Amino acid sequence: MPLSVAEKSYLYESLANTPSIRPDGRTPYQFRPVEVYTDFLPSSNGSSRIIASDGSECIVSVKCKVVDHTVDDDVFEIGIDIANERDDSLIVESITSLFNNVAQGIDKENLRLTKRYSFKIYLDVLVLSSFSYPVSLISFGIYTALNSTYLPKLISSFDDLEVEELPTFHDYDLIKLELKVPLVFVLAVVKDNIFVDPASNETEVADNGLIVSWTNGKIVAPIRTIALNDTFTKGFTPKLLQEGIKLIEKYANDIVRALEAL
Amino acid sequence: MAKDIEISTAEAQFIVGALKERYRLDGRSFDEFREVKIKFGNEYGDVMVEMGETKVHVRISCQVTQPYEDRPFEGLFLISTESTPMAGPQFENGTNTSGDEVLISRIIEKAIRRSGALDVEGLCIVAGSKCWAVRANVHFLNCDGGFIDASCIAVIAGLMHFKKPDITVHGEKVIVHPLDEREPVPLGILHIPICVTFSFFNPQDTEENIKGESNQEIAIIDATLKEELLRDGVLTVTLNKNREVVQVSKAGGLPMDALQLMECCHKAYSIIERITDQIINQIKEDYKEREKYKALLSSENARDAS
Amino acid sequence: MSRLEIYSPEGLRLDGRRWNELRKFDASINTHAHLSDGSSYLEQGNNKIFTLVKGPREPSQRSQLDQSKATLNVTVNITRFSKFERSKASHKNERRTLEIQTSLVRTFEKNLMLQNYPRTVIDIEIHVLQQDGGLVGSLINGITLACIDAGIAMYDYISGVSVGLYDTVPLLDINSLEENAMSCATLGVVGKTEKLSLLLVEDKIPLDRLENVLAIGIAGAHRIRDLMDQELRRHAQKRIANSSKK
Repeated sequence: MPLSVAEKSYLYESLANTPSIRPDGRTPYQFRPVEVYTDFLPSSNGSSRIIASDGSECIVSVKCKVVDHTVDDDVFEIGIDIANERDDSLIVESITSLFNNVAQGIDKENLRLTKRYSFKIYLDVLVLSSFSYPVSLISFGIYTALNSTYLPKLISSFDDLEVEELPTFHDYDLIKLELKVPLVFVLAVVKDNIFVDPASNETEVADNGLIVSWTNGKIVAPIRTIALNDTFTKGFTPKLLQEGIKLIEKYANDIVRALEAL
Repeated sequence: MAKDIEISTAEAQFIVGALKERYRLDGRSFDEFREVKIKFGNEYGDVMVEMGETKVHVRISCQVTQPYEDRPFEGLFLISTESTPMAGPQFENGTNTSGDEVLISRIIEKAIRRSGALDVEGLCIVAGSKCWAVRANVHFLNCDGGFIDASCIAVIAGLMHFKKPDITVHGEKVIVHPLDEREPVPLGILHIPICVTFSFFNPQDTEENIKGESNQEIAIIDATLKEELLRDGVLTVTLNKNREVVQVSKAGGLPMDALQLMECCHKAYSIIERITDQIINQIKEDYKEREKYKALLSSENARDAS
Repeated sequence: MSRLEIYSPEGLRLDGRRWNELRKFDASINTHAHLSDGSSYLEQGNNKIFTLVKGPREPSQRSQLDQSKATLNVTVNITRFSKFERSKASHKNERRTLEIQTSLVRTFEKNLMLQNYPRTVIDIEIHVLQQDGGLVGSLINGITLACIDAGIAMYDYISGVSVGLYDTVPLLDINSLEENAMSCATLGVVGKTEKLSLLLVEDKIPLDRLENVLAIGIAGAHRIRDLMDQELRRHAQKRIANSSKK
């Protein structure tokens, strides 16, 4: 629902205040609750469904295939589909490119099966609905989906260069996939304040947005700014960038713990 | 989207009113299929089918190409059904994504291609590298209803009539003999599917149709354009002479009693029997006409027989 | 690959069902209350389908406006991961998807009382998360449930089911292995009548066996109607219980 000028001005003032007041009473570093269901698609190797408290919903499926990595080196593919958006729309393309960027930072050593063959991971994301910029939600979805992925256990030998053979797998034993994708956080900047996980009404008045990725205790690429709305976008001081990064460094561990507790 | 043809209320009421009295505008009975006129052109696989004012032209062609990787032993068979404004103002150039056009092309595709009417394995020349690609181009010339029925007859008649050039294979090398050098060979047709379309009208209100027991719905065969515009539901049945249902499509529309639908299928069978015979006979006659001078020009004589 | 025994001499199918047994049918409605006016989640065997109904609402384009009745739109999103093998291309503009959409619109156009909602548009959005045969039938069931949840006036339930024909035995509610191995028919049955709103046969079936196939399909569809009815009543009772607590 579009906000009136008066509502926007009120929201902006309260967010810009010191200490800031968020419309739902959260502190600047507080996330909204999410519901996560994992492993509900038997025909996928891993899956998750994540629902934010405002009703934004995202479904992630992980499928894998054995490929010859001497022929096809690209062993990680992400496809993003947003309901009611065309595949070539701006938002789909920009989010896809962001996550392709994120995927570059993944250590894919664990996908290596033998000297010749690898697992190739296909990640498909379906965003059913999103009320605010869905990047964080997608990232949590991908994280939990990969965390619930189990792949067949290899029983043939690792070295297959001398003996030409296709990798063979155990009939029913599965191994948990150890693949850590960076988490992506969205931060909203309002005047001199910075907030994690902005709700839709907060994005409407935000001066600017910040995308920060984090993995394994440190901040990684990509870090980007993102215009969260078309009308309010302004610049911000570099100090806020540092502050935002610090905020994520401080709280990201808690998020990971929460996502892994599933 | 192109503008749909609109029909005046007075005319609509008149047509539906007449149907309730069991009359049709062109004087046919409900179960009467229009007379099918099939004409063959000079070349093989050039067919024109006329049913009343509906005119469909089909041209079959073929060329040598590479088979699909996953099906090395099969040739390619494509049916292209593109409707243009030539057929009527309701069709538009280029965009064939409206509901009706998609259904027409899908039904023809299912009736002929997916049902395996053409023996695609017979189109293989060298497994995995060379095969024939047979293409049926359907041109809708004039629309007065019954596009599916007419084009199905045209495509299958075209395939039966068509002959592809003879070939000689030497290992990987293939020689295609022009038609004037060697007698061309016909395609392998495995069965002859024919479509019959029924149009349904509801003479009462919707409640009676859904809840009632009376089953008063009217079913007419081979509707004209005006009847097609007014109908509440449609059923296309595709059968062949072996008493096989090849395809049935009733994509929504007026709910109909299952027994009534069965009855439609049985009615359709007698029609397809007749049309199948007509196609076979006309092709025979056409070939006879073509080979009129064969005996005269033949160098064969009585001595060879011994 | 070893040949699968579609129907064993003992009368058992691949997944252990008998010829006249349905797959597990698990439905729930009002699953996405926040983003649609009516929604349902359906699991029919391994088919998993979300259906969202948005409307009746004001059309965004004037061209969709009809003075006499509501305009019905159906979009089917078959996800790329829905089958066992991930598909290389998106299914969005495939002819088959377009055909399914058109068939669903035409099926429900005659069953929803669209004349009650003139100058509006009803959008039905379907997401197929997983498919395992008999897709069109499951889509019909999903739409019926979601439309009821949205409170759109309908004449009756429409329940969909697929029936295969294995040699001479009709098999009810087939899965994808069975679907690939034999010819099958999809039925959309109106309520508890014997009336078919939708009938699709995509492969060869002997004319004289068709009646048999339809008969078992109608019986199966009636059973699905009852299962859907049960879920709706269960849901309604839960709502009444919740509201009387306040």
